[in-house]
Amino acid sequence: MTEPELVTLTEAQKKARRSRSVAIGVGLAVLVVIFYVTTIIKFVPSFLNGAS
Amino acid sequence: MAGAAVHSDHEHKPRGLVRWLFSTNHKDIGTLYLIFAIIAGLIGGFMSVMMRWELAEPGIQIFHGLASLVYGVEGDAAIDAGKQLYNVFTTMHGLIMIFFMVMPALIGGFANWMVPIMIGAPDMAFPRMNNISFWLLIPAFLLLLISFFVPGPAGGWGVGGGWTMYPPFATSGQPGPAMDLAILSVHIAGASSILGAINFITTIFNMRAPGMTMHKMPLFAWAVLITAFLLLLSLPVLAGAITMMLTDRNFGTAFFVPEGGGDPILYQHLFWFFGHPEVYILILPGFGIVSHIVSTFSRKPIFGYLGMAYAMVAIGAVGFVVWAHHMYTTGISLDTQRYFVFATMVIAVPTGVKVFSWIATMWGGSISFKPPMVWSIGFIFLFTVGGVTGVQLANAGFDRSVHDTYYVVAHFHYVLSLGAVFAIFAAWYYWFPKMTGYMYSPAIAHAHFWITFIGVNLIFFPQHFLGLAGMPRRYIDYPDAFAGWNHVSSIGSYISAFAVLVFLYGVFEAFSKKRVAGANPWGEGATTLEWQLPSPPPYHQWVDLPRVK
Amino acid sequence: MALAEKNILNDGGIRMSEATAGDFIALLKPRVMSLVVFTAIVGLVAAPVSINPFIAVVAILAIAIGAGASGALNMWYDADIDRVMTRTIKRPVPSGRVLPGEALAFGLVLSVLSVMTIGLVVNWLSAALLAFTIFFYAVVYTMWLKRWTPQNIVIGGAAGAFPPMIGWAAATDSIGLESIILFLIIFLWTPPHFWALALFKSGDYERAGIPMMPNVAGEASTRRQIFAYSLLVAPVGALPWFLGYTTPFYGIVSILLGIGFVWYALQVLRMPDSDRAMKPAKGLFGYSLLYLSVIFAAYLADSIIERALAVPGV
Repeated sequence: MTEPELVTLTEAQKKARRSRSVAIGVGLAVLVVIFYVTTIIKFVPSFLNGAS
Repeated sequence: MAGAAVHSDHEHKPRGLVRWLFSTNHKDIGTLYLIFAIIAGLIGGFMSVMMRWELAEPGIQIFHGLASLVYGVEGDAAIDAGKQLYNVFTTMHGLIMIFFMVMPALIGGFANWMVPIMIGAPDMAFPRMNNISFWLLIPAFLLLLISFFVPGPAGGWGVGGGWTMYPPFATSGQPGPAMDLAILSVHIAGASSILGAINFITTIFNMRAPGMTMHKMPLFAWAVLITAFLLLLSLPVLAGAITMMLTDRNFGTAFFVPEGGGDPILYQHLFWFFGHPEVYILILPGFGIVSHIVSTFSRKPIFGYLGMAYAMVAIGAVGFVVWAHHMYTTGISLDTQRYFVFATMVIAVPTGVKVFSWIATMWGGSISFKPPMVWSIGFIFLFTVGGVTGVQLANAGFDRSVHDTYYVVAHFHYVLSLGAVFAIFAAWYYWFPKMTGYMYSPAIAHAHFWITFIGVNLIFFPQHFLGLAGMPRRYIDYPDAFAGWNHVSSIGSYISAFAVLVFLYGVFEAFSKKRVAGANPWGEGATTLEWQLPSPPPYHQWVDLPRVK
Repeated sequence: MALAEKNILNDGGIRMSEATAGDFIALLKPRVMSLVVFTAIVGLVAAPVSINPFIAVVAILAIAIGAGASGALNMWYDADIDRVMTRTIKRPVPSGRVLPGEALAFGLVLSVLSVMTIGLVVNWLSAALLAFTIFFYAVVYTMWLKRWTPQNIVIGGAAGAFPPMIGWAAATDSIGLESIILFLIIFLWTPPHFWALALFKSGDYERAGIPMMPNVAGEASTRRQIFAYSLLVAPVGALPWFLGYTTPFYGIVSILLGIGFVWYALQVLRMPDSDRAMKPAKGLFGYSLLYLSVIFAAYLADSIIERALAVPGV
């Protein structure tokens, strides 16, 4: 198997990648919280739920 | 040797407590998960052998003695405690095998170890959070084990009622703290998995090496990505459901209490909305592993790569809209049942695509029957058996007769114990040389396979007959008419237990003989990136990223 | 494809991205998003049904992300013309920080997630409306009408007019006449708003080859059409009051704003061809932004006042 050619990341690229990772991670965490809270409040009696 | 990729270890590799308690290394964390899964598997497996021992003959022979041993009760109280303990064993066996064995092994273990290497990343996107995910499992497991020894139902100990924990038994039926401990345990295990899912999705989306497009990614990475999405979307609903159960039990809410305007069937909907994707979570990583192994040991690329990837996407997506096939007997309307019958059978299509593609990969290939391949072929055959009984069970009419019988138990054990577990062992024998640098004895590995194969088929195939004959599940005892197949099934469990000992001996033997495995013991069929690294890989790999053509 | 002057290799998928999270957020057109969020909130609050605040927040968040997703899709498709216009040359794709394929994937993923989220958490009518809005903006406007007809922003403007209807649908699970009127206000406002811009940026659009009204029919015709639309915008802006949906407070504000709109449009009508500084056009453009913000703010205030003054149980 031929040895792979290697690419070194610059500091700017590493920082950019880290900022993207954090944004994706936070976004996914927000989705989790939304689904968790929604599951519970959808079944709380109507007076807390408005009329939906 | 990928010399340039090796980071000089001596300066950077931590030792001792720092290395293993505060790890941020995906390989070390993967190892921790695998060890944890083995221990949990032994505990969960012990419970199942005990249950089979009890069921070997009609009457109650074992559990009153066990209860006596554990709780110090005598006489009639021991029989009652024994019955309760049996119910606790059915519940705990399920919870432990699902949340503390299969998921940690496949996702925490193999996915953590191999996915970053396969996509050319130096580690996961959030290495510290990876560690948190692992260490959350310890308190979660401890809480569950402690629940054995605290009160559950009136006059008894531990949590009964099955891993599904339906109300009202789970709420008013078990007022003791055991149930609350179990709920907290599942909350923490769920949090561990959610954090892991976020980590895997971010890693796979954002940290692939240059040239590694999504459509060049290995199928195991695809499987893990889809699994992570299923975890992300289904676990919050489970968390919501068990939170609601916790508040019903302790804070006077009435989500599932009819007298307060609630509905116990709501819990079942919420539970199975999680529960069905959960079974795909348990099997999808196995699909990925089998694809890799079949390709490696047929010396052929997998047949229909795109079809395989998108079949898994389809299975994951459709898996979200079939949950009520677990609820056909709860009183849902006929039209609702018709929809779920249809939707459930749709899933058989992409699954069939995968089975045919594995076979097509082998067709015309240069097959070598090394242990990973043997386990994988076993998987393909036995998972298919479990799959076809699943298609049968998808039919509401048929299900009405066999719901909560041993037919269902046989079905899911075929896809789990003979599916997921075979995939776990296949992965073990495939990647053990890479992870440790040592090659195991093929003779012991083959012996492990055949003893297991015979054992588990003996356990579960007769259970189809028991279910068709009407034997209910989660029962400590049964009428004499069911004795024959029960006896056969129990013998199977003793054989399987022996097979586990063979496995453990094989691990010990590999570590003591220390045969060097080399970077790639499997030959030209092993084409993914992990085989380009030494065995074991350096502490840090891909500090400089490989360019993928 | 434009390269940044760094040592990133750009041979199709082999490069390492230097785009930060901020670059991807820029793809969502945050300023447009804020207007979408605002008008959606108005639609939601104006609706006669109140919903759980958490659900409302999720609805608005999903609408915002969905709108942003359609902006990312637009930036994917329009990468070539964005590079030619001074107004858009610094965007992430023309500047090389984000590849067009990355913008496309980002837009698609966010579209799916936002529609799925609002469907599961709120209701499927809002999901359908959001999905349609994204489709309308990305496909009907961006890919079809924009480069093909001078009526591009008239028809395509509907995309920007949907958010109040989505907010209303989130609260009521229905489409009401009142929400349709909110739609109409934005819809009729869009042509004079964009044509005022097109008047003083006609050079840019010319270079990009986009058939904006001034480039196709000439400036005089465009000025007349702007004035005609303003005569429609003014009364429609006050229509909610005429139909009894609001208090006189909104009625007065909307009438005054409408008169202002017509006045500014009149200055544009009177602009001679020789006026190259085009202050009246810039004035109308600026006023149009004020008009929309203030009239919707007044609607929001009016809805809150009505709710606060409402008899309990009504």
